[in-house]
Amino acid sequence: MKGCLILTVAIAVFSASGLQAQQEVPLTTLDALERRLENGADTTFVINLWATWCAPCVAEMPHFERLQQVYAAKPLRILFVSLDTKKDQDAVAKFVDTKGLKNEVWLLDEKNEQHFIPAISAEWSGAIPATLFVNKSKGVRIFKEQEFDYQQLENSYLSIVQQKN
Amino acid sequence: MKAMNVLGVALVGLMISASAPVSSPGYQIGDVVEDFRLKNVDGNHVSLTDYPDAKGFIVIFTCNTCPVAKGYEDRIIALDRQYKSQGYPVIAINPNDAGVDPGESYEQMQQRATDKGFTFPYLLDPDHTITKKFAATHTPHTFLLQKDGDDHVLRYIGAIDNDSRSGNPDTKFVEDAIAALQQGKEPDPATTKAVGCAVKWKST
Repeated sequence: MKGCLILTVAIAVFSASGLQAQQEVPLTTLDALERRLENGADTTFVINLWATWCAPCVAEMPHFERLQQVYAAKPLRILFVSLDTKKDQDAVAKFVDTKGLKNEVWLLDEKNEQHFIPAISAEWSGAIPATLFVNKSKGVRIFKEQEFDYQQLENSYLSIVQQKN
Repeated sequence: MKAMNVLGVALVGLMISASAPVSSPGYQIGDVVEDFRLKNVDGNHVSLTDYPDAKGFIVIFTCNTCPVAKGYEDRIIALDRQYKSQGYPVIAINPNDAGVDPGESYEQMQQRATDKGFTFPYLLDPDHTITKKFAATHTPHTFLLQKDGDDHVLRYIGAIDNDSRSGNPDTKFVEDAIAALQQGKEPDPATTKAVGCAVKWKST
């Protein structure tokens, strides 16, 4: 019986990997995202708002990937939240696959910009690239509407983690 | 301790903002907008005072390369067609620096205006002078002006409609704002937000 279960799981895993040549990009809502941040305790979340059509967004993505690699042992989570439309979900997945992104990628399933833009930050005009830094245990929520180079990104991250709780 | 914490957060804010581009608040709703004189794709310069009969202007910061802005071009042409005759012509301004993106050059602007058959001026804003006065942050970014005597008063800031990404709006903010002005009312909402491409600022 136990062997049977393992075999079933193995088949499921194999068939899943066979069918899903490309990484999935799941949908998320603003509420789900906020709950995730709320439950993150001492994790520093770096939420990058981007889209496949946004050239400067695509250009800065490797810096976020590098930050995660450099601080892999730290409670740091990079979340790439795509503002592409839901109908482009497959294209986003293909893009993620092509770029070999290692961090989590989500597609924001929110249509009402008058709701989700101010909810993410009152400072956000809607322009991308834009990035939100959140650490609940430190009470930090900082929004930056800018394109980062690696040094700026690392400095922003370090300035949060070096802060006392 | 709490004060320390507040200080800490303030410091973090400062440290991060030190690396961000300088931003100014720009014109606010109700402010009088200064006239400008910018070069159009046809080689002539355009000012607000060139339109003595206008009741106002739909000033739209837009560009050649941003997919969101390009997705709006047909809707911008339709706005100009509909509202020029009612006294609210469109004036488009490209806020982007061609040094950062060659696709934003004057020649490419001329090409884009010809290809799309722009019915309105499409102006160059070298050094982002006017872009900064309006504090336009992205393309497309719309500012609705109303004439009051010789003054041009800012009445609405934001999105053209409520669908920046799919092109199927069910609320047309700019049209609603103009309708409000035509009825002697204040636009409501007077400001809206929309996803767009960040302005490509000249590197310093």
